[in-house]
Amino acid sequence: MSPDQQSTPATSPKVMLKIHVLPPNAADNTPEQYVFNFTAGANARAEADAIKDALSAAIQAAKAAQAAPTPPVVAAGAGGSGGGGGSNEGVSAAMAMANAITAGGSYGKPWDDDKRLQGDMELQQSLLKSNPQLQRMFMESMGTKPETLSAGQFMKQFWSTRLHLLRAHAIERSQTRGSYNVLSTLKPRVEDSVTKLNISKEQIQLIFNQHPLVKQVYDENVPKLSETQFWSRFFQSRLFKKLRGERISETDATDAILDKYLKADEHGNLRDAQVPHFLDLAGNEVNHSQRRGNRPDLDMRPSSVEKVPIIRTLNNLSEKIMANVAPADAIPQANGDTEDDTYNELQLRDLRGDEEQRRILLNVKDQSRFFSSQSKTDEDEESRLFAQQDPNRILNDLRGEVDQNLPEGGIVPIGRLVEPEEDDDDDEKKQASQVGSRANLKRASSQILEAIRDRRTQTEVSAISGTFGLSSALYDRLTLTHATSTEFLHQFWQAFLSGNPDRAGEVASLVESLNRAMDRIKAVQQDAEAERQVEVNRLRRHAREVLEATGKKLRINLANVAGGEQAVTRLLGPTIRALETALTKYKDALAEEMKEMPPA
Amino acid sequence: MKFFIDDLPVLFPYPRIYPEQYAYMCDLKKTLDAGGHCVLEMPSGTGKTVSLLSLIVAYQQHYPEHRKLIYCSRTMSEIEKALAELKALMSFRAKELGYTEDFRALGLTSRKNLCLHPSVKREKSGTVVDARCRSLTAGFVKEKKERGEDVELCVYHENLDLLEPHNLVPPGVFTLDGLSRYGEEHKQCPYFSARRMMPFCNVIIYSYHYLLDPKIAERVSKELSKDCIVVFDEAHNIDNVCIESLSIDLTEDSLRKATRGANNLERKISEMKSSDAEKLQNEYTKLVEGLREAEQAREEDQFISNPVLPDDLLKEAVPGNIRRAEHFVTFLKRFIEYLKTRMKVTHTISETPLSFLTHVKDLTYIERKPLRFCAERLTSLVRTLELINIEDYQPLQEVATFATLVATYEKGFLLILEPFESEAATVPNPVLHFTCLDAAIAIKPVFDRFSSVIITSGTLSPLEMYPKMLGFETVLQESYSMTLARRSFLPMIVTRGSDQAQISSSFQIRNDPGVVRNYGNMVLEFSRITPDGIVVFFPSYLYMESIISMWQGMGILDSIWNYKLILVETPDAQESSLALETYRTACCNGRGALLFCVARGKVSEGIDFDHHYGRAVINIGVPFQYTESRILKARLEFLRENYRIRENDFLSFDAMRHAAQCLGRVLRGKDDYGVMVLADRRFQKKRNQLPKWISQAMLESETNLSTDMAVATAKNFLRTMAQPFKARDQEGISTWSLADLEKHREKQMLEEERLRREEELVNARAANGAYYGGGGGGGAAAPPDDEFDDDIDEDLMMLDAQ
Repeated sequence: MSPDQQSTPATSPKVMLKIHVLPPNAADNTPEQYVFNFTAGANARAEADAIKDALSAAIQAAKAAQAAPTPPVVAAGAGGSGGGGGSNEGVSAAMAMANAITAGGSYGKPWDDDKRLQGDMELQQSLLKSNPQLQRMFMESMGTKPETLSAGQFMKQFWSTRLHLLRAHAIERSQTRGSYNVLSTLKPRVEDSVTKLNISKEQIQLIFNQHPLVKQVYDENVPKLSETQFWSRFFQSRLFKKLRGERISETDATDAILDKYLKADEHGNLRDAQVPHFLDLAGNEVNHSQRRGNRPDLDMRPSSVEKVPIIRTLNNLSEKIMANVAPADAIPQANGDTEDDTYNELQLRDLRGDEEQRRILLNVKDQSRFFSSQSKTDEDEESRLFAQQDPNRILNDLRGEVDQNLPEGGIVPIGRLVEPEEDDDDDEKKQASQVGSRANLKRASSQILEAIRDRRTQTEVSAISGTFGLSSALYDRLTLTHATSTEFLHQFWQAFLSGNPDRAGEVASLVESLNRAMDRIKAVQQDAEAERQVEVNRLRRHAREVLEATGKKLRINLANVAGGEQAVTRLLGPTIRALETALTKYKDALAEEMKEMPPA
Repeated sequence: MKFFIDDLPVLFPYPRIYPEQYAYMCDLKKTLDAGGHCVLEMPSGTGKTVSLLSLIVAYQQHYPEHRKLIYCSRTMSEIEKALAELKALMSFRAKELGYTEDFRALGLTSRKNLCLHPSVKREKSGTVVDARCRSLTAGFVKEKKERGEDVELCVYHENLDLLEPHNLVPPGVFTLDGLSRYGEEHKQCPYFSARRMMPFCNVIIYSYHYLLDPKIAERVSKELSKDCIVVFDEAHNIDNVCIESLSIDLTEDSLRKATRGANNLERKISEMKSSDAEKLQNEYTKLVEGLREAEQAREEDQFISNPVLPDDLLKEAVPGNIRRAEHFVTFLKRFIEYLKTRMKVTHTISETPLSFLTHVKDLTYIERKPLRFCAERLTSLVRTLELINIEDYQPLQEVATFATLVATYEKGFLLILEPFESEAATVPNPVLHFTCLDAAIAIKPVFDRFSSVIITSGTLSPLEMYPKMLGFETVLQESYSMTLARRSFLPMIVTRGSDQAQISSSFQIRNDPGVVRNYGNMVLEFSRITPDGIVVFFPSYLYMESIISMWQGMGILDSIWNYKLILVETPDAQESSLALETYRTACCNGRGALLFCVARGKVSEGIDFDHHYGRAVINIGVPFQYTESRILKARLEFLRENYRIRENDFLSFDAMRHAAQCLGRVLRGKDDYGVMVLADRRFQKKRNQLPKWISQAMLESETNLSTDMAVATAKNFLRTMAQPFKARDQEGISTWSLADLEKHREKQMLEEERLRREEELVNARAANGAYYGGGGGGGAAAPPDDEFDDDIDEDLMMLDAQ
C-alpha cells in the first residue's frame, strides 16, 4: 500500500484533502482516491492542517518501515495531473509545487536518504541499465558470490559502496526537461485556402497542464462535440484569445459553448509567498507609510488589468512553468542562514581571497607497513650510510673536486662543465660515483623518464587503451576478475572487521570465495601464459621458416613478447597480495579462536 | 586587509581592493576631515557601500569624537543590503582586532515591515498598520488599561517596558530580518526597539524621509549632534524625494472624506464635553502657552508627521479663533467647503500660494495665521480626544497639512488645479495639486544642521547639478572611472533597426508599427544570443503596456517564448515581487528569462540584476518624464528662473540619470559582465551625459549601430566573456592586493614630493624674477611664456575683427 495525500494550497478558499491509496492488490495500478471537504468555515484550514500533519506523519512512518524493496514512492510531484478530473484539477500545478516544497522542507529529497537509495531496486536496475560496465561487474559478482550469501545481502553490500552512483543517478533521473509555453508554439497555417493546425498528443497534454480551464472545458463538452470539432472551435474562439492574453475585440467570432467559460478566472490563486527583504517590492512600497507627493504622471499610471490582459498572462504562465522548480530565493526555514545568504549575494566575488581547496585528508597512521620489508631495509641502509658520513669531509671532497675540474681563472672548456669526466673513463667505478658523470646523467634521465612513464600510466584516464600485451578478451577477463576480487575483499573485510560473532559463518563463506578468486586469478595467469606461448611459438616458427628460406638467422627477442603470466602477475600483484593478506589474517584469527575455544 | 589612509587605520573586509574604492575612501576621509559636504559618483557595482562603511566605521572608532553615522537609503531592500554589509564588516573587524568593539547599528523601516502583532501585521495597508499599532501602543491607551478599562494592548510593545531603556537589544548589528527574528524570540516589538535605540546607535540606517520630512528631522535632531556624518546613498533621485516630501494632492473624494472626519470630530468633542470637559479646558490653556508646550510627552504617539514649522511658530500661542476645539472644527469645515467650491471649475488653474491665500481671505475671511497652525492644532485635538481609529481622520489631516504648507511658504510652491484627468477626458475628476518646485527647501535643514553630508550614487552626472539644485556647497566633487583588466561591459547605442529605419520612443513615432516591430525584433535577437537573464526597461508604464500588447499581436512574444520565459513588472507590488522571484529562479535554473520593467518603476530602484540575473540590459527609448505634465512644466520654469538650469538640460539630465541607473543594475564586481543597450536614435547626442565610467567604456564605433550590428557585437562580446577569467588576471590592474596598494601609495608620495619641490622651485624662481624685474627697472621684457599668450590674444582679436 502506498498512500499519498494532497491538499489545496493555503490561499484557496476551498479546503480539501485528497488521499490516494494504492492497494497492494490493485489491478492496473490505479490508486483509489478519497477527497475530504472541510466545511467548518474559518476553522476548516486549521482542521485540515492538523489532519494532514497527522496523516503525513503516519505515511512517513509506514514508508520508513518498509525500507526493503518498495514500489516507487517518488510519484508525489505527478500526482495532481494523474487522477480524475473535476474542479480540483485547477490547482494541480500549485499542488505539485506545494508538494515539492514540503518534500524539500520536511523529509528531504529521496536522494538525501541513503536507506531509500539502497532499497530502491527500480533505481538500481535503471542505473545498471545505463552503465554497462557496472552491470557486467554486478552480474559477475552476483554469479560468483558464495552460496551462503543471500541475494538481498549481496545487493545490500554491493550498493552500500556505490551510494554516490545511486545518488547521482537519482538526481539525474529527477531532472526533466522543463515545459514551454505551448499556446505560443501553435501556429495555424493556410493550405489551399483552408486553415490547418497540427496538434500532437504531448501538446494537448501540455495545454491541459498549463491551462486547467481548457481541460475543464474539454471534459465537460467533448462527448457532445467531437475531438476535432472541439479543437478547431477552441483555436478560433475568444477563449483562446483570452488565454493567450490578447484583447478581445467586438469583431471576434462568438462561440455559444466556449464563450461561457470566458468569465472563469484562471488566476485565482496568487500564492502568498514570502520573498526575502532585498527583493520585496511590496515592502519597499510601504517603507515609508506617510508618503506624500503628487500622484504620478499620466504615463506612469498603469491601466487596469482588463485593458492589458497580456501582462498578467505573461507572469502567470512563467510562474506556472517554473512552478515545479524550487525558488532560488526561498527563505530557508532554519534561522541564521538567511543573512549569510544575503551577504553572499552581496559579496564582490573577485575581491574575495582565493578559495581554500577542499581536500579530503587521507588519514594513514602507520605508512611504513604499506611498503614491503625489503625496501624498508634498503632505505635504512641508505640513511645509515648518510648518517655515517662526516659533513666536513664531504665538503672538503667537493671543494677538491671543484678545484680539480675547474681550474683557476674561471676559464674552463664548456664540455668540461657538462661532461667533466673525460680523462678518467677507464675507471668505471670511479666514474659511476662521480657527480655529473655521463653514466650518472644517463641513469638519472632514464629514472626520470621511467617515473614520467609510470605517472602517465597511472593517471591515464582510459587505462584500457593498453592491454599490456594481453588479448583484449583476456584483458577484459582480467579487469573483471580484479573487480570481483576487490568486491569480495571488500565484503570480507567488512564482515571480518565488524567483530560480530554472528557473521562468522558469512566470513567463512567469504573466505571460500576469496580462495576462489585466487583460483580465478591463477586461471587467468595460465591462460595468459598459454596465449603468450602461442605467440612465442609463432615467432619461433617464423624464424625457422626464414632460416629455411633464406639461410639467414633471425634473432628473435623473446623478451619482447609481452603478456603472459608475468603481465598478469604484475597487474594483479597487489590484488594477489591483498588476497594473501586477507587469507593469512583469517587463518591467524581462526587459529587463535580455535586455541581459545578448543572443540568441545 | 588593513591599510592606512594618512594616520587612519582602515580595516577592509576583503583581501583585495579596487583602485577606485581606495580613491573613494581617500576622498571621503578628506571630506570628513574638512567637515564639509561632497558629491561622489562611484561606478555601479564597485562596492561603494562597503567602502563607505569601512571608512566611516574606521573613522568613528579611531578618532575620539566618535561621530555618529546616519546612512540614508531609498528602499527597504537597500537598507537591508547595507545592514548585511555592515554586519559582515563588523564581524571582520572583530576577527582582525581580536575583540568585539562596543558598537550598535540598527535599521528602521515602517511598522508594516516590522510588525509582529499577529493580527495587525496581516493588514495590507501601511497606514492601517500604523493606526492600529497606535491604538494598541499609545500612552493614553495604557493609562486606560491601568485605570482598569477593557482595552487591548500589544504585548510586544508592553514587553519593552520591562527592559532597560538603553539596552533593548544587545550591542551589534541587526539586519531588519535579524531584528524581527530577535523580536519574535524575545517577544518584543522590533519597530519600537529600533526607534528607542536610535540615540544609542553608532550607525543608523533608514529611509531618506526620516531626515527630509522636516518635522521628524527636528524631533530626531535632539539626539543627533551636529557632527554626525550623514550619507545619502543612491542619491541620484534625491531632488525628487525632497519635492515629494512637501507636495500634496487633494481630490474631491478626499475632501468628502475630510468633511466626514470633521463631523466625527465634532461629535466626539460634544461627547467629551459632557463627560470630561476638563480635558478640553486643559488643552485650551496649554495652547495659550504655545504649541511647544502642548507637544511634550508624545515622542512616539505623534501620529502623523507635520510639515516643516518655523521655530517661531512653535513658541507662539495658537491664535485665539482656533484655540477652542469646536471653533477649530468649524474653521476646518469652512475651509473644506471653500476648497470644494474651488474644485468646481472646468479649466485648469495654476496660482501661487500668495494669490490663493488672498482669495481665501476674500471669500471666507480665513486669515493666513490660523491656517498655518492647522496641522499642529489638529494633532493636538486628536490626542486630547484620545481617538483610536485615526485612519478615519487621514483625509482631514491631509487638508490640515495642506493648509499649513500653503500658509507657510510663499516661494517655491505652486497650486495647480486640474479638472480633467487627461486632455481627452470629458467627465471632470478634479485634482488640486499643491506642488513643491524647489528641492532645496526640504533638504536645507539637513545641510544647516549637519556638518558633513555625503551625496553618493552610481549615477550623479553632471555632478554640479546637485549642489545647484539642492543649494549647498561642496568641498569635493568627484566622479571615478572604472579600472578594468578586460572590457567587462559593453555599452552600445542602437539607433536603427535591421532595416536601417530609425528607432526612437519619441511621441511622433513611438506607436508606429515599424518602430515597434524593430524594437521587438531587437529584443528577440538579444534573447536569442544572451544567456540566462535579460532586463528590458521602458520609459513609462503606459508605453510598456501598449508596446507589449502590440508585440503579442505581431507574434514577437511567441518567438521570444522559444528562448526565454517572459515576466513583467505590474502595478501591484506583491505580484511584481513574485514575478521577480520567478525571474530569478528561471535564471538560476538555466531556463533563462526576460523581464520587462519601467525605468522609473519599482524594479529599477534597489533591485540588482548582477551576474546571471542580468547579462543584458536594454533601454527601449529615452526615459523622459511626461513632458505634458503641468507640474513638470512648472518645475522647469522654476529651475530656469531661479537656478539658471535650462529646460532641455534638466529634462535630458533627468532622463539620462534614469537610463544610466538602469544600465548600472547589471554589474556587481569586476568579474561580472553584461551588455548595455541604449536603443533610441536620441541617445547618440546624449552620450556625454552618461556617467564617466560608462561613457569612457563606450567606443566611438558603437554609438550608432543598427540592430544586426549590435547583435553581432554583443554575440562576440558574450563569447569572449564566457572564457575563464581568473582573479589573478586582473591583479594589480583592476584589483589591488595590499602590496599593490603600498606600491601605489609610495608612488603617490614620490609624486607629491616632486610636485612640492617643483612648486618650491617655481616659487623661488618667481621670487627671483620679481627681484630681477624690480632690479631691471620698469619696462623689462615679459617672460617668454607670456609672449605665447599674447599671440593667442592677437589671434582671437583677429577672429573678432572678422
